[in-house]
Amino acid sequence: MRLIKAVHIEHSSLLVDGKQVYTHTDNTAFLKGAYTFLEMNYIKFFKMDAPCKLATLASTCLDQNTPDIDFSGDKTAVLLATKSGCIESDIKHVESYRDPDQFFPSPAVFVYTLPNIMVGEICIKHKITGESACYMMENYDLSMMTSLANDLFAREKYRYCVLGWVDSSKDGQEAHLALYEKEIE
Amino acid sequence: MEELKGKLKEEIIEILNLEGMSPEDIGNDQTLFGPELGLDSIDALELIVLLEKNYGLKLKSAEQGKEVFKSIDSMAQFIEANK
Repeated sequence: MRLIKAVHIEHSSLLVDGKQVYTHTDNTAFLKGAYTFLEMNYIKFFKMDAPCKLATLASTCLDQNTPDIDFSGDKTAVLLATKSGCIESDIKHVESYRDPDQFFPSPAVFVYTLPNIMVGEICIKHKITGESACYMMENYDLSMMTSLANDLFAREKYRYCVLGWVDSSKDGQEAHLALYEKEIE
Repeated sequence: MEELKGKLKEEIIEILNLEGMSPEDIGNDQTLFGPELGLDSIDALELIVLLEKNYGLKLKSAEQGKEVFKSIDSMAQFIEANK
């Protein structure tokens, strides 16, 4: 398979194909700053939890400045991996109903208490209807993920695959997303 | 009543994360679930929680919700009538 574009978000910096395009000194302000920088105009972004914001930002970069490539529809699969999943939303949700006298769990928080929601957010934003999966793993096993993508290209009629790692926890935030194309023999 | 409407707008902006929006941007008679605010079904659930948590009010049916959540005007009228 052929790499079309790679996006990395770590240490409050956004890199596209290895080149830093945006950075912020404040980790909390980074996500909003990157949203503004990318001129996303996607109001749903502000309702998302951190991993979904990371996934949406990174996937937006995959889609920008590539006029010849359209990875919407059923020709694209999405394979993501994460360690922390949605742990921050899980904790926030539990905190919202811990006190029986203040039992008001938030529906908007609850919807993000599934790790694979970030895959869904990517699919919604880019209108991707191919198959998708989200794997939980201790560290990003690029070899395994690449093997899965290669297998999909070999067995199914996919042309593109969004492949990557998205993780957000108290220890930091990072996203490594890449768009691959099936190599035509 | 005007004070209540202003408070509702602030609460909605905060709870629904309506980034970049101020109370002045929401008209009292503006349709809440129209294209301008972009609210969805999850936001409707949040508004139900808001009524219960902040005003101690519960809706009796989905039909009532449609009426109450039409606008800031209708929400304020519901709160005033049931407080």
